[in-house]
Amino acid sequence: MALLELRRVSVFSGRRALCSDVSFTVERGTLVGLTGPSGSGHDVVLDAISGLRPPDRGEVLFQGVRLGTLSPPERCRLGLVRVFARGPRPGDQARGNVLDHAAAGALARTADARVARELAADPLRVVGLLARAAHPVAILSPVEQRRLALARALAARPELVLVEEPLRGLEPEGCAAVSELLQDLRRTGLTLLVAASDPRAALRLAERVVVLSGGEKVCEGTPQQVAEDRTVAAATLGEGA
Amino acid sequence: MVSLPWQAGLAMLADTSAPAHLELGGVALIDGGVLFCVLVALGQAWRMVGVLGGRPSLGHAAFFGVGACGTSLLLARAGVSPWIGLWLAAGVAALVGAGVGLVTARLRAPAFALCTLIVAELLRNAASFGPGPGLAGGAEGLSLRTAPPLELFWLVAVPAERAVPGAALALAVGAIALTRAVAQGRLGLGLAALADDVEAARAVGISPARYHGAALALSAAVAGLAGGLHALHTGSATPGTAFGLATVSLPAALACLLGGGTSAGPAGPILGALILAPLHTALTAPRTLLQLGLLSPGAPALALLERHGGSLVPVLDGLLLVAVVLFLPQGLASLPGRLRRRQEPTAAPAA
Repeated sequence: MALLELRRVSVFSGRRALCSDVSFTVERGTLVGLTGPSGSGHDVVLDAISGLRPPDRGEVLFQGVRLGTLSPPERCRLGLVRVFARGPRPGDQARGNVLDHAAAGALARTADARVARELAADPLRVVGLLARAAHPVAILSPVEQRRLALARALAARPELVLVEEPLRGLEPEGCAAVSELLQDLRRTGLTLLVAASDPRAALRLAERVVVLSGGEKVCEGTPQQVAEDRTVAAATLGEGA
Repeated sequence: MVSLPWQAGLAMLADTSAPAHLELGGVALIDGGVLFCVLVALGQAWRMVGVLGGRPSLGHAAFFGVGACGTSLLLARAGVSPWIGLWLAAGVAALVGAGVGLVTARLRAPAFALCTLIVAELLRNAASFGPGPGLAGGAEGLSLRTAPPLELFWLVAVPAERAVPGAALALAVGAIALTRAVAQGRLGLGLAALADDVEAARAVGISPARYHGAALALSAAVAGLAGGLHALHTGSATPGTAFGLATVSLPAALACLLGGGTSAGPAGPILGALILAPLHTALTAPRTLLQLGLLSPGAPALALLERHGGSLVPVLDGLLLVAVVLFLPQGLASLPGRLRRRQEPTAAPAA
């Protein structure tokens, strides 16, 4: 049984389909990429899986259970968490230190703030931020903010992490570092579904890639298969051609 | 200098020989001290929601009013001792807070501010004109001085005029401790995550309804206690004042924002109340200035203040709030740092 299964998922805005009849599965312990030009609907698919905007038609099954209209916090309790592309807001708005930010992810597992902070220490070590635990979130670099967001997700001890645009806006070295971290996480047995509008990022990271275009799935396979697929080239290059 | 009122209040509390109400100067100082304590408690309650939760409230009068009118209603109509009635009314305020918190859990800051404003206004109208004639005293409210069972004002043999200021001081200290505990505990972690990014917080299992609901319930309980004690001290509870935007909601927000701004620590509301309490006392009871020797009896300023002081309070509060939001978003607590930073370039020109 697949860890995550989408069955003909459709989401509508009024009468317009933001994504239609998208079906794919994510096997346990794999890193699956979800790509397509921006506006192709991968963010909508992530919203449907994470429960931010449950599908209007079709079903999302997690560990064989239909998620229906469960809210994101309820889905988190089942082991499904999401990491957003935006990090903590820079400047005065980002509050608290790195440890507290990560500990918020552990609140689903414990009622005690002290225990939550203890539970957050290990994820911080995994992403390499333990030395900065006491630092304010506001001074972190973009790469460190991606690491912190992942640490917070790990603190919830998830089965599946949905990661949105992990490499967007990063320098090449930052891309390499975050890619390596995601690969490391997969090697520890975590399952990841990574959405990226840049197909190169998805092809480089994932062992299996799902390509969307105009809200529909156009291709699915290994990075090599996808790279050779003509429909993909048409879909991703089609915007300008 | 400004901490004088409550120090005097403490001294009066300890002094058991002379009835406090006979010394008019002392009474005025105690009034200022109680106002200070009430403002500290209100400011801390507001901080729990407006700073920790990241959503400013414009309706803390709703909870303050429930506390004030609830306590006086229980005392005047059912003969319930205010020392029990206070807690009952604060409990009702907490329930109202939890309800508002649950309903508004998904709202962003501006919509939340509007919603709390509307709740307070609805309650103000309901309390002024709603209950059957005379039950809550209508728009005139209830006078607690005419409340029949006077012996119920006693708590371990401390007369009410001393027990109420003492309780107000205890409430202020308790509110500081509670807000601090909330900020450092589980609730604070969750609220910070929600204030930072609601969607990201929900995606890792933090339910806005639960956290915002709990924070508003606690905050409302503190505001309710503050309202009850304020009513007991002033001897009356008028719905129009206790549920008022200009009389309670604005000062509650201002006490916190003036001191520490949108990132106020526990010291924020204390600093704010240290400025607001003397200001309000001077404007609404200018005789205090006389007793402190700051004005001479015949001064034209005194007559002016006596005639217009009360109506100046909301105007000044409003202007202060606008000034703080525009020019000091981090409150007065950030002023020393800002001044230092402004001086630095001149100190080290070619760094």
